[in-house]
Amino acid sequence: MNARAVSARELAPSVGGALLALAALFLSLRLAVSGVLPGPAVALVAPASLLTAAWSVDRAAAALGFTRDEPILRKHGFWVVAVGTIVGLPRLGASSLVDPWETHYAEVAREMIERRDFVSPWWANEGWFMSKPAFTFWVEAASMKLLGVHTGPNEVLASGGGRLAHPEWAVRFPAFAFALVGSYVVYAAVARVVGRRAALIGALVLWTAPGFAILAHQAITDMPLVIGATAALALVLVALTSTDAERTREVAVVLGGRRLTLHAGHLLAAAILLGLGPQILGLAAEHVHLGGGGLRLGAARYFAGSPHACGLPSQPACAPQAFAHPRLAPGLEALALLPVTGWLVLRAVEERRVARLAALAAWGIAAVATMAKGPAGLVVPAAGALAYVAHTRSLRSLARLEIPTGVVLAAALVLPWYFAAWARHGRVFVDELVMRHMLGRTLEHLHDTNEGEDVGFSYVVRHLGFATFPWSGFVAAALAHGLATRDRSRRAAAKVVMVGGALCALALVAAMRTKFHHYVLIALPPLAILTGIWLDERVAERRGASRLASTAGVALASVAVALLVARDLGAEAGGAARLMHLVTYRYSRAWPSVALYRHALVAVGVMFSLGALAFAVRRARGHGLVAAVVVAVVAAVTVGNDYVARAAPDGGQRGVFEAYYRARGPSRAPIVAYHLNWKGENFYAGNDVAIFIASGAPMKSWLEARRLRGDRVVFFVTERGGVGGLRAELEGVARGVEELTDRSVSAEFTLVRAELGPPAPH
Amino acid sequence: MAFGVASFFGRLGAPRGRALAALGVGGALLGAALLFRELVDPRLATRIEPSSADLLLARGQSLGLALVALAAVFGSVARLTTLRGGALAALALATTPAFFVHSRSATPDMASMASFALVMAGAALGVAREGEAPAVRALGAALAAAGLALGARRFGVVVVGAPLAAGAASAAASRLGGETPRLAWPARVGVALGLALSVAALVAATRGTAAGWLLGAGEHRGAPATFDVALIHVGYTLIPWAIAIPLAAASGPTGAGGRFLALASAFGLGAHALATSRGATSPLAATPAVVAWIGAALAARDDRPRAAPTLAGVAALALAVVVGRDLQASPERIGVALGAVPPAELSAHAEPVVRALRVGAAGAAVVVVVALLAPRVGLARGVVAFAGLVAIGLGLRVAVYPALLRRLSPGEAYEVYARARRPGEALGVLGVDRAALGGVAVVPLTSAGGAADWLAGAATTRRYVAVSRPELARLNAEVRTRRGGNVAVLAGEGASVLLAVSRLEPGESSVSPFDRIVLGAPPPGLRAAGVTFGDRLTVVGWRITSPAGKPLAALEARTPARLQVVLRVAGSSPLRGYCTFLHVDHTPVRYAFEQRTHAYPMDLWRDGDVIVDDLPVDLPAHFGKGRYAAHFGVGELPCNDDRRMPVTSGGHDGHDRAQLGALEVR
Repeated sequence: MNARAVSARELAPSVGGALLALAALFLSLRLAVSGVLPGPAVALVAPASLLTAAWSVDRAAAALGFTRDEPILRKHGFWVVAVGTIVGLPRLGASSLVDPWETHYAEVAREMIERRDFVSPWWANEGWFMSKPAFTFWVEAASMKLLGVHTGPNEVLASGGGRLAHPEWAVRFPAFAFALVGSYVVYAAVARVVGRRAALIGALVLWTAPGFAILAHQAITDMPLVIGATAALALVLVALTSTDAERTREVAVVLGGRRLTLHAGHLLAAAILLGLGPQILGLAAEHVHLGGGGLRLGAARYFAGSPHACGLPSQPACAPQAFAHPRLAPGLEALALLPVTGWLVLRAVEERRVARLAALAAWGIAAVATMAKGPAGLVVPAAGALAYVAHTRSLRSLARLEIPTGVVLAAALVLPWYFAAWARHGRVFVDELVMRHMLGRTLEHLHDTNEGEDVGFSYVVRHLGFATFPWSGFVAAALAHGLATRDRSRRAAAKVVMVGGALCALALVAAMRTKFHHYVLIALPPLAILTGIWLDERVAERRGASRLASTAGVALASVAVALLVARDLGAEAGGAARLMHLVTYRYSRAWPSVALYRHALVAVGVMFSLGALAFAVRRARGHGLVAAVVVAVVAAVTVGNDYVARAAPDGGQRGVFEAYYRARGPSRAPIVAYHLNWKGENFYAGNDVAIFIASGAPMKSWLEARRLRGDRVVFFVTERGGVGGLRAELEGVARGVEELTDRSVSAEFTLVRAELGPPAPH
Repeated sequence: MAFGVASFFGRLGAPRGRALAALGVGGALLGAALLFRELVDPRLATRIEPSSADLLLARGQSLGLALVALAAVFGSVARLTTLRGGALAALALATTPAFFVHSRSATPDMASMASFALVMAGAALGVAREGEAPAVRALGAALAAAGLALGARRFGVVVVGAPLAAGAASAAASRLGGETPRLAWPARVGVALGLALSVAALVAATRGTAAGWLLGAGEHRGAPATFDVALIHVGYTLIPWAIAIPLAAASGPTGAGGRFLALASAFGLGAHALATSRGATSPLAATPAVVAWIGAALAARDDRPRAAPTLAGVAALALAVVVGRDLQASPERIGVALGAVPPAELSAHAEPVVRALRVGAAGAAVVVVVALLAPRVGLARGVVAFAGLVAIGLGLRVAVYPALLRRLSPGEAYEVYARARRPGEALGVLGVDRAALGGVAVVPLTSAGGAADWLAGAATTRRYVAVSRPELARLNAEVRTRRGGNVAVLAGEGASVLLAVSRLEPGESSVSPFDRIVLGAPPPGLRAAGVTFGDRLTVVGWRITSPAGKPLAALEARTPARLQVVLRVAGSSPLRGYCTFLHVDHTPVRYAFEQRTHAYPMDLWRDGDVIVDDLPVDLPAHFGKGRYAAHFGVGELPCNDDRRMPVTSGGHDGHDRAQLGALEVR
């Protein structure tokens, strides 16, 4: 087949424009991190740069013949990117990281940079961090490094010119990027199989669901899992519905007289290299050490402890550690990975069949999702494929899923870190990560914060209801409709695969003994896509009075569901906080700053319901849907950019540490984390913090030692409820104890200044 | 009922149909006989039945209302779909655990179901379908009015009237979809009524405390539950029928009948969610609509020779697994069908019921999958699925729930008393409703101390006390204070009501659950410890046992066991605000168990008591073979941090944890 030839000159404006726009985005984010660019400016420049880049990429894709040459505003895919960008980006880093999860992961990533160790995650006083795989920390660390976050002790909030830094932009950007790219992949795959309108509606439902919009603002392990598993599911759908006769399009770029033929296999090969290359280099680099006047090769080694904090109270000592399995040298692993990588890259480059390329991409993305949080990343897409097999009652389609190569690809991506960590820590690592946190959380009730809440199957319904508001009723209708799928069309295949993935996710979470609200979010994207397909079908419905009447009935029931959910979100006691609970840890925590949203959320429910009521009318269905989408988009933009930013200080420590750095000025007055173990104190202090989770005599001795050293002032960060206990403990130790921050700084945390006074005369 | 069974099976044709019809009629008669026996059996009185002067009359009312509900469901579904659909829906309702428990109990729940069913029938006849004759519409209006009159005041207009809103929505949908060119005036009235009801629901939603007439009588009980609360009730009380819900959902709201039933279910459950803040709410009101929807969906399957959608079957399987797992994790969920029984009390008796319900749910999933998804089925698919689900439902109804109700009743205690008593020996009651004993002369006792005094008051004769399980611990403490030993218990070891006695006769032995927990002296075979907490509790020793109580030398990997810590109590003030905990250390994460509520509450521990604190040791999989340090401590409630009762003597680790020694895992 002759590929279409495009000269480099033809591509130059669009590619150059894209590069320039991406450079502008990068620069705006760096300036945002350093605090040079004020928040409102970032909120304008960063999204504008990103959308310009998207437009330029589209121009390039059109020039290459990958997309239609039509105005950007008529591109369905652009609207996915646009809505995602305005929901997710403008105020992404404008607020504190929320304790404990965002700060957990940010602190682990920060320590990776400080400790120069990308294999063994470390979290301050608790030592090795073994409850999640390492991928999220790698990307957060890379983002921090690229965007110029200072990660040393007391440097995280430091910036030049008396400004305070905003590392939150760097920490959260990967989650947003995954959400945006992932949602586009899902859109593109579904558009190919079902149609652009259905895919667009599905993607809009996804981005306007508060569960997804808020998750895109959270630097936790879930976004790569949630959107990764769904992107893999969508690519599985492409693989299952494409024949081997369908080949990927080739383009030839003429560069300096040379003709360079490219196709999707090259993109996949590049992605494989991007996934495996750094791992190979990282493993090999473990044998390269600094010292003796330069670099030298030697046996791999690793250390426990947080540099600069080894001597602080409760912080483990810094000490070299022995490998549990010294024969499994990282270098050997890297060597073993090289031929596998080569084979996979060649396999991708040689592949032209759409189905096979989509399947391999699905394996790769599912592996990345697994690297972020666990096996659900592979299980959910597999469930979608199995549902398709059960629906068609034929195993033939499985051949297109490239299972042997896919398993090798997934293993090559996922396992190196597991082997490397196992070689270091041995059985403890497997026991802790795999047995306790992966299997254990599923089979046993380890620990959660659902006191007083029913954690049966309705738990997933409840939190999905909140996470998909105001679409909740339509989502339920779409799932019921999906269950009824019987035919063998491509559209039916899409429904089957999405229902399979969603059912698996729902059943998995419902059956788990350890539950947190955000676990249900993995079911959200497939349900959103199902909703898009269902709404698309209903809008196209023209004939059949009974069917039209049924749709009207479902719309009326959906109105009832939306209003019921709105009533819960508008409840006086913590109604509006339910959205924040979708991504946070302690559900008893108050989020007073978003209490004002309770009326707004009820208003959203009512306005959305008006659109849904119009949807029930045969002739106004399209208008009703547009009205509902507009309400949902406005709500999501507000939730993404204002609700999260208001809520974050309630449960974050940034404000408290800003106050600490202001109050201590140029002095080196230390800070103590008193009865606190949330990790925000470690992150924002660069882990230069004395930790007293159990205080009493050890703390008094330490304070006395500080006094003897000449320290006059010590600061304490603690929960508001802990101030009384702290005052009691400081009685007789400190001359003056003053609480420096009120609830407007943080509802949960506070800063206390204690004056130690001069040492007692001997 | 018999008519329903006969009409349903009669459609299969002779001779099989006649045989099945006869079987159905026979089964219905047998059911009626069982029901009658239960109605007059005072041993089945339970705490879910409030005091009533005439238990039989109150139960008779429930039975009458149950028949009304069945007839209403049959009539509405038969009118909207087919006779077969009506029969199936009614039979499905009759074999639902919640329905049969309340059809023979003096509880208000059957009134809520019956009033809802009557309004549903009224809406079905009057509003939901176009082209009905005026007489039928008039009958519908009368039924709806009767239903509202029966239940609106008590359970709220919004709840009982939800089917009217559903009928209005169904009619409106018909008009909006173009199915009906113009609504007849009765339908328009119905739509107006339904709309008014919906507005009322909205008002109720926003003004929860001021909406008594809307949401039902009773006290406002604080924050309302979330929108999904009704699903909890449906999920666990409708086993085995709940497992067929995905199938009903997959059938979609097709046709006027299906649409109305689906909307009635949705609106009924939604109205219940609105009303959960009220004291008089019945969680079961909307049950008739949901079961009718399922029954009609199964009946519709008969007309379709093709298998049901595969995904619906997969969803049914998943639902069975999840519901079964939920019941296993929290056995008190069975109480949703039983109303007001305290969860802790239910948990003590729940195991056989949970096992049966899990088997029932799994069986229902198998039935649904095999009957509806198999490539070929001999009989009509709906018939096979229906027969299977009825069989499971009947099995639960006959074999499981009556047994549970017996355990919740004072029947066993009373029978043992009646056998053992001599003339003049009286029976006192403590924490037990006198009405539940069916008019037997008893001495009411109002406090554990008074009961202990009363027991000790007879020198020559014996005295008996029927005591509820929650009161037994307090009675035991009072008896120990007076005579140093546990109160003797003659009967009711596995029941909610136990029979305590002032003394045992030769040949009798006590079945008190506290004889294994509260001792006068440490048992033999302990490993020594000798650590004292706060000068109040001394760890005398400890041992490990199997879950059945057999002493063990070591633990088996991944096998649950118990660790019994034997404590001696000192001091007279009650120990309040503490838990005990067990830590088994493992790097980096230990096994921890906090005992926040003790079988014999800590505030009853008295000076000189020797307490066996029985702690589970269910080590996670990462505890392989080896020896692990075990620590015991006394924490301050809620036991989420390191605040502990200090160790005042003996070996500890510096963090106020008693060092018990090494636990060996083999």
